[in-house]
Amino acid sequence: MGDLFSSMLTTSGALQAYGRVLQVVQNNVANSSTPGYAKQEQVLEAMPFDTTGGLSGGVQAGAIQSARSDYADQAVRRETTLLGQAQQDVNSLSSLQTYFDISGDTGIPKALNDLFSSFSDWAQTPDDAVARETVLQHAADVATAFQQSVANVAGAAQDTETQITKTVADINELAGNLRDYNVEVLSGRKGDAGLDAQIHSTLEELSQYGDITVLPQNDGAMTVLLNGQTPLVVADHQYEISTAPVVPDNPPPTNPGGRAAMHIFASDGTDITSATTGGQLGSLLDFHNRILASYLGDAYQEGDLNQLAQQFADRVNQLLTAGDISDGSPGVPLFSYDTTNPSNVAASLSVATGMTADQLAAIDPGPPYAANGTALALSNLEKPQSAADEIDGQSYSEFYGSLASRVGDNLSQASNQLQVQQSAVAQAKNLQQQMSGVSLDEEASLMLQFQRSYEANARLLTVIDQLTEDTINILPT
Amino acid sequence: MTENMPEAGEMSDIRAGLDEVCALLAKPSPQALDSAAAILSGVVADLSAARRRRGRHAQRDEYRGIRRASRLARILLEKAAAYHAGWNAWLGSLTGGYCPGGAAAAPMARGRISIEG
Repeated sequence: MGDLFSSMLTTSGALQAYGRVLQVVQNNVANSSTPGYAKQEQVLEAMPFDTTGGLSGGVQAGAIQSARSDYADQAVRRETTLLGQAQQDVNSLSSLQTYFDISGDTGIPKALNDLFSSFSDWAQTPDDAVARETVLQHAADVATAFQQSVANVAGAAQDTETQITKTVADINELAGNLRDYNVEVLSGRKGDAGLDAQIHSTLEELSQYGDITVLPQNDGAMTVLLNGQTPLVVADHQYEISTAPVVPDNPPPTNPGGRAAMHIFASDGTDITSATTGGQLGSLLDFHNRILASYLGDAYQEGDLNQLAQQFADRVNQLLTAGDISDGSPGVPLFSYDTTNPSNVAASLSVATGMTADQLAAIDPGPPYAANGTALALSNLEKPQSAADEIDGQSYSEFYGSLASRVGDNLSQASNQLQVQQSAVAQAKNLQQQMSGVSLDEEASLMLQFQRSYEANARLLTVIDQLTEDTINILPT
Repeated sequence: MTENMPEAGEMSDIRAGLDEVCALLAKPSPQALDSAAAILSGVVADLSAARRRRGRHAQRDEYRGIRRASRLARILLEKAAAYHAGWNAWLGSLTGGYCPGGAAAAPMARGRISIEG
């Protein structure tokens, strides 16, 4: 009888163990689409078998093991950071490209072409009042085009600042969630599959915003660092990052009136901008502080749009003031702008106050004297014949074209990078899936396998139960 | 098109081969890597033959497409290789620790071991 009871206990123990396996399998199947979920396996442990010592063997349910691979998770996060960066690059550059028309039908190129054309017409009929008025009107159009272009790009800079602020807030919010998860882990939910899935899903979401490093601790909590060194979450503490516009003082600004750059600060006030290069945040910072600054200027540069506006206006003014008006008086400047701030030239460019058409100086006093010499020199600005009419070795229109094509080239590279990165993330996720994902086929076969074992054991239990009952019944009363 | 230029169909086949390699490399299981290697060998041979016959202005769009696809295949292959090398190093450090120079030791067992019974 002792052996029979022992067998019953063994079988009953096995049933419990198999029941636990089924629970784990069902949990895996139910969570096969849960973001961040990693397959779990129920370990079955052999019980000691020694008939003389009353140990009947069998199996018992051991620990539940997660198939999560930190290495695969890290690879996915790394590629996701690069994807976030590429996606943001494409978004930012796509919006910027709309402000740089290279067709010549709108904006600065059209305004320049129209002005050059009006200079040419004026050179044909230097005393014609209509031709002079047309020059004046198209000069005003050039000024407006520069103002509009700068306003558009400045608007993009403003939008980017808003996005940087929002991205920093998103990072802090996700870091806050991770801190809360750590608190739950530390309060005894270590190993909880649902919590584990939430943690890893949040980490993956966070990785699109920045380059994060995750260090799992022995107590189950996650330490999360930004840029490999700035703590965001350590155990039950969160360290918030912040952002602010900054005009740096070291090295001393060469253009003190320039636009401020956006900087990122760790919770202790350390400036971590230069280290923040990855993910959406890194892309936004690069777009604002490098790409847009190259057009609008900053503390160390005037910006290409301002350089173009200033050199063009200066050259036109120089030619006109060297010429004579028909009454013999010297010419006056056509354009004016804010001379106190090199980064404000394009935004402040306008036709000089009080300038009238009859003040346009068409005459080159020479020698040799030419009644249309200045007007002709102005029309020649379209196709420069001397270095004085060029900017960085290019005509003014070509220089603008190079600014526009720079955006196009950057966008083309970013689009290619985005395509590559989408494939790279898919690849990393496939590798992760191979290691820690739930395979429905595998789970189905496991389920079948364990169900058969369960059924077999159940039948065995019934048989043993029946046998025990029969044995009891045949015992003499 | 002159006789020494590659046929449009030939270029499309090369591009299709590269796209197939990229699709396989996006799911780099051992089987997928084996298949990708075989296709890639064929693509490389076809491409070499096509390049020898390339005209100056022949099918620029196709060439651009092939260049993009081959760049993607190269990057995916590099990332898959880096992943497996990194995984091997990680496994090596877990099973054999680190060498005096600081590099991870070679993995004690390279394959998956399954023990039953």
